[in-house]
Amino acid sequence: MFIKIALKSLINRKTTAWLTVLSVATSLFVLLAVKQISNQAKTSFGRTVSGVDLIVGARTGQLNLLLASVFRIGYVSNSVSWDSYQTIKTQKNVKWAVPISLGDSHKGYSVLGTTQEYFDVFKYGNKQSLKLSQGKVFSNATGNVQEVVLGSDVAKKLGYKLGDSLVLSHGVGVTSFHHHDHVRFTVSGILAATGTPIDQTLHISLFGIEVMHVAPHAEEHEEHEEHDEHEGHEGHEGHDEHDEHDEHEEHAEHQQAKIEKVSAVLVGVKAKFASLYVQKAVNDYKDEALMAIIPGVALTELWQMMASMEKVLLLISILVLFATLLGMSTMLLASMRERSREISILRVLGASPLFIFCLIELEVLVLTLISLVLAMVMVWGVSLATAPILSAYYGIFIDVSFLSQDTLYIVFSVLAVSLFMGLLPAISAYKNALQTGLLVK
Amino acid sequence: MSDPIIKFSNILFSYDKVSNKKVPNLVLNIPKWQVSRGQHTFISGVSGSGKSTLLNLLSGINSPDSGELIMLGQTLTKMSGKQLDAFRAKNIGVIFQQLNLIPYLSVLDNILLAAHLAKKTNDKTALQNRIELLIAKLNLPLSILSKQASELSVGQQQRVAIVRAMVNEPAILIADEPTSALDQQSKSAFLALLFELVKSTNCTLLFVSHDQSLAEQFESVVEMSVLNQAHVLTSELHSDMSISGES
Repeated sequence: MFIKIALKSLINRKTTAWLTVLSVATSLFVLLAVKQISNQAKTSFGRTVSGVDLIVGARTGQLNLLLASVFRIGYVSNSVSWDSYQTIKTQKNVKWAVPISLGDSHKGYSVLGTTQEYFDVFKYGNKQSLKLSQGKVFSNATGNVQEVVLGSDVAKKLGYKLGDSLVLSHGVGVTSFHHHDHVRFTVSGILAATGTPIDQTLHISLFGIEVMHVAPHAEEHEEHEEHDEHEGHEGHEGHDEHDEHDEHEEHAEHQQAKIEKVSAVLVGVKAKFASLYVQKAVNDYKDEALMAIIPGVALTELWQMMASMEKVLLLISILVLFATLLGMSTMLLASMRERSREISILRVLGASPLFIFCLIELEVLVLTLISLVLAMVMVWGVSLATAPILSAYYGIFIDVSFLSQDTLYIVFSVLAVSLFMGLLPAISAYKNALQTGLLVK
Repeated sequence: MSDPIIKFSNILFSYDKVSNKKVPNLVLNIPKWQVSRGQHTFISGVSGSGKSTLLNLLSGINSPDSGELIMLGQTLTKMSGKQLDAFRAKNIGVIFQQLNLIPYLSVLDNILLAAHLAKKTNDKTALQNRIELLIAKLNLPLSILSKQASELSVGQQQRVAIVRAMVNEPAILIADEPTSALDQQSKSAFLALLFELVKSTNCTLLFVSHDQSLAEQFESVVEMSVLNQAHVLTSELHSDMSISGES
């Protein structure tokens, strides 16, 4: 009966009740979404790379290098020469060194040029290796230059199967003005899902990158000039590279030495603390301006940067929520005047002031619970809808499950705070109930 | 007459207890008043004569400042607020002038709410039978139970109010100008039904109205200006203490 009265009373004021629920739900949604995204970003960033001790690239900010080489966000403006790569590889503390080459794309998905070793040494999450769900990895043999291994999302979203052939484009982004359509790549393998940017990547061999960049026609060259992302960087290195390739066009596929440079080098060391030595050696390398970053350290820096923003967002969303809860309490307080008749009827029928107090608090509880459910559904729906966008553009892989421990804390604190806010109208009703006579006219 | 069901002795009541006036502005002063069981009493008085306050005391919503109030053999002046609420729910039925029902509940829920708060019975079928019987006695259709209270006409609302007031079989029924919102014809019909019902259940009726034409139908008529000695006492006190007062 008690619950029935509270529900019917809310239904009776359904317009204000719904508006209140909507405003509380919206602000709860903001709070839950901020919490959700920051949590998920934290875990998804952390699991993106493991087993790689150092990332070597041309001198730039460590975040820049990390974002470009691991998250495929932004560009590496300069590259590492093949000679430097060889030097790094032969260092005594270095167990393995795998070059990667970035800068091309296919329908918005990044293309990564690398060697066969990449698939053995690259680890993600809790030191998990990459696994093929179908087909095989391209081999280092020069004959298999035009093979591509797809990340699971690329295959799924674009509907590619083993044996399909595709054309890669120059530059990154969904629309590219230049397609390397003189070279077609054949899908040789598809990787199993990892929940990291690997899923959004097409892997080809370094030679494949070189072959692709050999322009068959002169007029395409001009286009290159306009849209070359390396344009404006000192020395127009990209161009020199292409010119050179023009001369040796017919040999390009067969000359390993023609790989002039790579974007970055992933390094694994032999002993645990050797990475520091290797890092110092790379940073002091005389022939080229290089830097080496430790992914864990760079990730922490990245996370710290995000954490301060997260705190600000969290604070704002808490304040917004507080404001809407105040609004709910105001709404209920305002309704007390029109409900004084109701309260006096209840009193006459023998309801205690406590009964009326609890009735108002129950209404607060019902409003908040409905808002919470609505907000969670909103978070769930929006996560579902934005998950592909977040993973494609920001490298954040969100897991569409929202019942984390944090969410539970939020739920309980919101309920507690709203009940506390509900004290205001409830106490007002209680007082009203004490003072009311039989004859409210 | 049998034993008194309501017994007032030396009741004093004022609203501004909390204010720091040295002499409270007395609203009610009833040295002695008794009502017998089953008696139908007509209480009349102009506004401001203390009628409302009297009803609030009778229903236990307000407690007197001093004196003793005994109803149904129980001393109300010794009860806690919680006990008073329970006592009211079980033993006293109230019908207001109008707007008796909670508008967003159905007629049935309005009636069940009274039964729920009285906690008198757990027998649902007995309760259902009683409600249906009362509905029939008051010439209301059974279909009215499922209607929203706000959909009813004033006349219907007042009759449903009787059903609700009588559903717990109270010993005392307080009706506060229940006919003032009705036209002449429905007024007579309403009164006839009310009398029939209280007689058949031996319920004590306290009927407040300023319509003297109704008085002749009652066994006992009480005039507030006679019952309430507040003015006398207040003016005495005021003159004694030489405080100019509001009366």
